[in-house]
Amino acid sequence: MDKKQIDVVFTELINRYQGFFIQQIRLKFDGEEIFDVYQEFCIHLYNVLCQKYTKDVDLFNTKAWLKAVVSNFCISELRKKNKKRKVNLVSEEKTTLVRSNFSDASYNSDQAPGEPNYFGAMKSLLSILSKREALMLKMKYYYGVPSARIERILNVAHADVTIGRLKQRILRKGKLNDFEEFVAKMDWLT
Amino acid sequence: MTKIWSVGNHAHTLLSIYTWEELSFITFTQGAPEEGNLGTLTISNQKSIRPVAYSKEDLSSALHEDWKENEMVWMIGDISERVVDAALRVGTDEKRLRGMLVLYPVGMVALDVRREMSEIILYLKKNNIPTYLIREPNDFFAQVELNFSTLVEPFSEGRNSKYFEYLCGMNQSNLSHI
Repeated sequence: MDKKQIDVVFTELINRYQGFFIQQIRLKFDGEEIFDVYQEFCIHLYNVLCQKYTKDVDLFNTKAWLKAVVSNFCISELRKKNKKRKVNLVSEEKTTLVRSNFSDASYNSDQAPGEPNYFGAMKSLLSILSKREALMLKMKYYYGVPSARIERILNVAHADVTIGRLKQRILRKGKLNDFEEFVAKMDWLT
Repeated sequence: MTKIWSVGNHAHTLLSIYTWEELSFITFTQGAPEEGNLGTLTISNQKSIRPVAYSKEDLSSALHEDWKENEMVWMIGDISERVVDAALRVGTDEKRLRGMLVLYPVGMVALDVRREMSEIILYLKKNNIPTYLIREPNDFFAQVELNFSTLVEPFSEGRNSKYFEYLCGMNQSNLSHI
């Protein structure tokens, strides 16, 4: 098929099946994203037509074929989208960042001298709690994980309320007024 | 006087270079994908532009309302396009369709489209509309020195040539020379 014929096929398919394409995309995406994906899909469809829609092939049903094309495209778009969220790990040789070695006593080597011993303070405070509760606090304040994600990962109903209670328990059991005062009492790094 | 109506995008891509007075175009342009947006049906000689959905019923009713042609019409189009199907049904209803020149359909790949096309051919046959197939439209329009009369004459006389062939719609007595 020459380019003119492909253009005609493409236009006819868009005229007939635009609503169907949007409906299929809506099954996997939502909001304004639908129209962005639709635009990308139109380009993909044109390329597919150039490569595969020839005079020789017998398609049993256009709609069934198009359904396969559009849902495969949506799946690959979803994969691309999720891939972007993953953290890219860089090997030790390719980075100039100095990392802490937690296997020996120098685990706090990334902390500047002349500051309170935050690691020591954290260790002693968290020893009051169970492992699971300590993990929740670490996730919230050390790793900066959003509360909604903590709720999902640890299967907790209201992470913020639970964290508030844990903090109260630490203050009560440690007989403290506030955390600043506790940190100030800790030995300073040299 | 006879006129030629080029219907659909396939015919438009081939005939848009010609500026004959007798030639007019019916085309459909799809609207943006947002919900509730309709496409646009354009009839060039009547300067008519109408928002319409791309379904046979809507296209037919829009064409019925906009049909102001008093002369007989030769229609050129690709019958795998829905707008061609609608236009030729309106043409036969108005009793203004003299003949149909079918461009080799781009939708021949799909069996469901072939089924639709066979219904159209049956319809043309039942209504005795002389129908010709232009098998290689690019060659036909590129190699034949075309003006309006050279395009229409061979079909009016019921000839066969290397570029087109008779399909259906004429009386047996008129077909003795083919």
